[in-house]
Amino acid sequence: MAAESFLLNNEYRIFPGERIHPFDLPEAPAFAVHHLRDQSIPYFALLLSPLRPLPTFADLASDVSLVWPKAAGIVPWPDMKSQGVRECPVLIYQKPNATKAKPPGEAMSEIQLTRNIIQPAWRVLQALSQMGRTHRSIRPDNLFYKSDGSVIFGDCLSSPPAMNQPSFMETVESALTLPIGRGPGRIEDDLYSLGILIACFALGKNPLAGMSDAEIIEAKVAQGSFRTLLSKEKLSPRLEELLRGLLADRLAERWSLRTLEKWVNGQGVPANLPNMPSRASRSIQFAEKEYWTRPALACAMNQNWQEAAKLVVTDEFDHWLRRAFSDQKNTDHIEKARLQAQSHGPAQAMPYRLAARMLFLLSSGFPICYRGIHVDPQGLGFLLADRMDRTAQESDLRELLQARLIQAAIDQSQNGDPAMTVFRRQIDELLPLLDRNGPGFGIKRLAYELMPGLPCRSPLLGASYVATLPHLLPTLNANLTGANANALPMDDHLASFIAAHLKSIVSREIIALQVERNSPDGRMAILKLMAVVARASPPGHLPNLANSLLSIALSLITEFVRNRDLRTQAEELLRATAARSDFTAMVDILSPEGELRTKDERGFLLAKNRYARLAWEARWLEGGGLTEARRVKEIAQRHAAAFAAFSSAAFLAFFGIWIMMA
Amino acid sequence: MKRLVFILALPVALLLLPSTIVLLASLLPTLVAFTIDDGKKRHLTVTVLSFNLAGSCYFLRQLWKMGQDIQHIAPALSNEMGWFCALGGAALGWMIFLIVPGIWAQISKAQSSYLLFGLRREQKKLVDLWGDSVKGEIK
Repeated sequence: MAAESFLLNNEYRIFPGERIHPFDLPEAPAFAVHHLRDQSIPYFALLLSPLRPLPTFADLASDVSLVWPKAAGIVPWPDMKSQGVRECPVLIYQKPNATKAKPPGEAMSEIQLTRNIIQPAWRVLQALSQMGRTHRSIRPDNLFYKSDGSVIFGDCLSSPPAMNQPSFMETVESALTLPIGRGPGRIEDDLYSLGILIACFALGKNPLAGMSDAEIIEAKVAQGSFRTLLSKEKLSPRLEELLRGLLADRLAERWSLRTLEKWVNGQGVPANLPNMPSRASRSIQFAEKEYWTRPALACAMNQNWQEAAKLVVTDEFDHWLRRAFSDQKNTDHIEKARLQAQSHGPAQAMPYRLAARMLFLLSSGFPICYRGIHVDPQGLGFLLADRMDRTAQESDLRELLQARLIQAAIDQSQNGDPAMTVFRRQIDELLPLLDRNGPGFGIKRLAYELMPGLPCRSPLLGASYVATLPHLLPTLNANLTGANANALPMDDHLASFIAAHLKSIVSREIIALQVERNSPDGRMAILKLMAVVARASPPGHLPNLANSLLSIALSLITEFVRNRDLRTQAEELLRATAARSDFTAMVDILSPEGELRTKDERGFLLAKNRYARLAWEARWLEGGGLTEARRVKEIAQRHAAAFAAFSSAAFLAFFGIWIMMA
Repeated sequence: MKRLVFILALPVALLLLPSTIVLLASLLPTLVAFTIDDGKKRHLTVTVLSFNLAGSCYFLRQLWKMGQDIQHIAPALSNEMGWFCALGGAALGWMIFLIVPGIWAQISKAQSSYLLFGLRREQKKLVDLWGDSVKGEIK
């Protein structure tokens, strides 16, 4: 049932049937948008994946040449698969007054490059830097060309950072990383991409065309990025100076925005000399090939993980690393890496952990590499969010995290970034969550913790997009109909999402969930968790959810309350509180410390004792307690004697009176 | 206690010696019961004694009518009706002592059934109110 259009923020009418292909991005198709108040300004919308967070952004100055969203929101979108609608995030953009088609022409001159690309790029990166952001989508096919030849940089918010960047546009470290796990990086990573872009425009072609990603990385590691791209090309000295600065492979040597500004303003900037990796006094053989430098070996090891795990435990590797370089610090680092690799994680995976740590030693700035996983610490959240429902790589991901490779990578980078220090502490705090596998723990919990805007992927939420806690219960309520009406309103995603948003407030309830979900304790934990969520963000009237929780509560009554009358009383109370959607009161009624259960417990103990006493008495009677011959005879004779004594006494009394009267 | 009773009773018995002798003679069945009674509390003796004593009042009445004198003991004891009363009383006591246990057994049986019915009814009420778990072991 494809709707014709959707309204966003009462301002933008989006037309799902009208695609605008020139504005499509790999992760985000573009659609036509009409502004309700001002039809003269053309807009388009990018439809984002419903699995990704809705980007947040501040306003951007209009003179910055960047396609930047004007609005964002969630709209119900026709879902071809389910033939229904699915809530999806969309970003609304003003159409740039430019075209996607590159104007015909050969290589750009230095003046053209400065005016058309470098100056707009500097302004864009400057503006983003001031917002504490990076672009990470600077590539030739994400540009718009104005009629005067200058460019407008394309969107950078519709997909995870650098996810759609071709490897050749990225630094060696970023190229080695899985696209989803590249992370926002630093503005210097954008400057590197800008350098490649400038080189492409300066030459009028991609100098690396025809090379595979692996060949490009190998060449960049062996010769450095600048030489890989431009060793055979002739550029003006000033342009060469610029590209040497932007394409420096070492972060510390790469130009900053300030240096670029100086260059744009025509000031002289000292050229960087290419800093090539130090060559060993002797080579080492790995996978039937000789290697002379540490980064080259690191790249090769990264591509052949099984062999790498075998190599790092050999004496040959140890000797090569200690003796082939005149670097005294190496020995300490090797020892430390070995010790840490042995300390964290299962014994059988030790060679892999050691290999991962050795890669940091072989090439500083290397991403975290562990078996098939390559990730930047900042991209960890994106990677976990992407992989959290795939069980195939979960054990590798767990090993990577439990081996404390994230912390090792942050320590190794030593860039003093306070955000990374905070992130490191956060990872330290989150790692114990991997020790358990139940709801609210594990990879899913980490993903929701590291990606605060990540929408909850619970199947119980159906096609709804829920990224904030206040929306959770109303959406859950709306989806608890039909086939879901009798489902327990809890699953791993919901538990992890709630735990990540409420943190220590729900830690007791989350731990209580670590039992069989259908058991009485499991159902009680669900009820308690929902009550805490409802307290944290009062949701109003939720009849479906209340009914679902009521059926849980009623089932718990038979488990927790033994007294028939108290059960009836509790049922009435629960029905009344459910009608008000007062989940906290429902929990209080069933709480072991609550009046009802305390009364029930006390009464039950008394009743049990009474029953036992009655049972004993019944057994005594059945065993002939009252009818036992000796006892009966004894009592009967006693009674006979008493009867005789009383009768005789009475007779004697009458006899005495009669004698006296006579 | 027994000694005190004996000390108090002895002067009375000596003072009323003819009555004491008549009474001792008429209480012979009680003496027999006392001899064969092996119960700790002497229920047989008490039962027989009670009715035997009541029956012996006829002899005492005869003796007291003739006057409290030693020479009237024999005429009093030769009264057939007196022996009928004394021995009949003892026989009644003996009979009651033998019959009551049988009757009491029937009464006990009925009482036991009635009590058991009450217990079962109360147990069922508890189970109805608290469920089967109320039958469980007491901690």
